Amino acid sequence: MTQDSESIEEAARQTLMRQAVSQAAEHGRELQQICPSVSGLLREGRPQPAMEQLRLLLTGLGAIAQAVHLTAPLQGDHSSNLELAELQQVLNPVVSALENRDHVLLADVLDYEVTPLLERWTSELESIAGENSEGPGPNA
Amino acid sequence: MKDTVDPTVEQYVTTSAKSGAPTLQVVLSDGRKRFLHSPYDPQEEAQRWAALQEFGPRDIVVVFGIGLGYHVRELVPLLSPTNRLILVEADPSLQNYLASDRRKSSARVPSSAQVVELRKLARLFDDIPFVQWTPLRLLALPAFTEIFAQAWQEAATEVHRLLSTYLVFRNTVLKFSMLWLIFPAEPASLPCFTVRPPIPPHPQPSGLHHAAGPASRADPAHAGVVSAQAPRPDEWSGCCPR
Repeated sequence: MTQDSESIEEAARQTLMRQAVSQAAEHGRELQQICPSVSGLLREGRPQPAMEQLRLLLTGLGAIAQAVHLTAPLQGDHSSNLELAELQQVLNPVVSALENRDHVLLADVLDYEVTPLLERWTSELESIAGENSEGPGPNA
Repeated sequence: MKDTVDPTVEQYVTTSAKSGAPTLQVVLSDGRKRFLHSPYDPQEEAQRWAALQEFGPRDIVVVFGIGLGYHVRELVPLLSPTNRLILVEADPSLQNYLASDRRKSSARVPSSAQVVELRKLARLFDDIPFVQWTPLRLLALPAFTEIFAQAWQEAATEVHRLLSTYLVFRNTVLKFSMLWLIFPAEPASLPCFTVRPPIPPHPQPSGLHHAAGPASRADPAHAGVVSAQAPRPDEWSGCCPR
């Protein structure tokens, strides 16, 4: 009886993790569109709308980081390509650029650091979602 | 005393971008550091910027802020031979800083460009004949407009004033051209006039009378009198626009 409830809980957890991974992948694709838009606005000298979109981008990145952290058991071999420290490393210059109001640096970091990271992470998350949609996760 | 337009800029620092090209950073009086050119790839940044700029084939293109000149060099191939390129240095102390190092300032300003000090921008049209006056277009990298906000404001005001001068000049020329088309024969026909039939003649006051005006030449039947006086209501026939 206890084993049954545990297996049901585990299955529910696995389902939730799979959903979280596929939603994070979907979100990653959306953020890939926002990233060049923010940097473009900054390069055009329109920081006001850029900052509004940047808020969405940073919130989205936070959500993806949370999804990556919570779905670690599902990631298997992909976990080495989804290091949260790497995201932290990319976001440090973003914070520094925001503090200095350095829009040139901010646009560059978004174009040359955040966008490639988002592309890599999104394809990793899509791979995880694809692998786990056909059967139970590697650690199930 | 530092000779700078914007007092918040304390120091310039030239560093290497990730692409290997030199880039420029400013240290502000509050300790913040900001890049004037891209810290990753200033040439690509300049190409993107130049591709976004819009100007007419005969415009005077005024670029505010030269920096290391990446954006200026990318802009030059996009200009037509009828464009005139004017560069305004945002901060004279930057020019001195770059002049101290030939490597940094090499090929910064294209030979086709004219460098004008900000305070002399107001007299830009003084050196250009009336007939060569054309619209102006003020361009700048956004970083220059933010960091040298005060100087940018001055440049924008001057360019706006010059543009207004040009527009007033152009409209005046257009008006005179229109009048010339309507009244090509004699300037005397421009004032308000009245053509009176010759019969019966009115008693002539001692005002200004001409025996033969343009109307009388055009139509011999109306070989009457062209008067420069105000017409009576019953004899009003036409009046040129005032």
